[in-house]
Amino acid sequence: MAIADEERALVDRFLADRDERAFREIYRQHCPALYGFARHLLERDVAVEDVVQEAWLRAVRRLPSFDGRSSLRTWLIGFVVNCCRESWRDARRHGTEQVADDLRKDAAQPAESHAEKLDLERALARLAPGYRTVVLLHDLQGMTHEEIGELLEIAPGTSKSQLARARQVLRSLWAMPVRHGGEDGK
Amino acid sequence: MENKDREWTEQERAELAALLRQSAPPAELERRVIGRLATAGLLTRRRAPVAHRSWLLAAGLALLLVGFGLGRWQAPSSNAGPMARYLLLLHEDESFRPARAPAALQAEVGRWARHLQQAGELIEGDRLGRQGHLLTPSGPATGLAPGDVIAGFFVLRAVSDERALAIARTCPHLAYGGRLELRRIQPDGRVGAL
Repeated sequence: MAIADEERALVDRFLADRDERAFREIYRQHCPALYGFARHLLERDVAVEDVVQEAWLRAVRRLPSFDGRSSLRTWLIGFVVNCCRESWRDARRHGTEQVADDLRKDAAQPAESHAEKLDLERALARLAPGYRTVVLLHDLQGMTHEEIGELLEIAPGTSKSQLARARQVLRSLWAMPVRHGGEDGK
Repeated sequence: MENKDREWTEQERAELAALLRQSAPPAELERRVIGRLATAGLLTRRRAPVAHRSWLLAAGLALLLVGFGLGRWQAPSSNAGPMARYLLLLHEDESFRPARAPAALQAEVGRWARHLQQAGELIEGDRLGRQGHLLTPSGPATGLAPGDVIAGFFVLRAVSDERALAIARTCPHLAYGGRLELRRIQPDGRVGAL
């Protein structure tokens, strides 16, 4: 059975009688990716669990409308993205965080000074939210520019150019560990 | 395009992939999600095995005993509709026997409270100071009488008296010999006996 068919069968099994066991299978297959995505996107550990929980709630409510045009993972990620964006807006409203409201208007610049190089996690956290979103969706979740464009309501070409800029900024911040002959070294 | 904008190298890809693997969700999150879905009527719960539920019967009365920080729970407002509110008072007298370390008890209380909160059945809870003032129509305020101390409270939300009683019976305070008092909060503001 193809992966898509297996996913569909599992979703149908859950929807048939809202079976807890079927849901747990879905959850365990996808939650690690959803959680990791939210954690790196939000930067604030304290909000991650709430965001992921809310995303699951919304996704399950809408699950009957899942049509399989994308993978279930991609479909679920969309709910996490939207919940993260709401979390940013809430944080900004409450003055606890300065975050660009519009993901399309991020203005992060490549680091002018290369004096401070960061590990990947911190370098990623330093990216503007829009750039970080595109990198996470494309390079870590494997989504296409078409899927990202649909999710973020931007043109695929915009997603592509955002990704190029995001990679440029990330490379300027990120101190890649140097490895020689399979051994770690600095 | 500049070299900087090129595709990730194999090593870079490996580092990115490793980043995701480092972020496993906490085990507790699964239970929270399941509980939330069940409360919303989106999932049919299977009856948990007795062993799995046993922790509920233990939990956290600690707060009362050890005078430890229960902290404060305040559930978000719920659209629970006609559900009634109940005040659960935790009495602590000589029969109360704390058997756990304070930190362990606090964690138990936290789990019990979060479980109820996520089910929409806990509005708030707090511990009470062991010192207080007793006021009478005449004379100065005095200290509380020793003996039976009300060490903490919870405000529950339940669809019926039976449900409120069922919730109260899971309160860990009972497992440590404590007594509970459950009172329905009257909609008109008067507190009446259940």
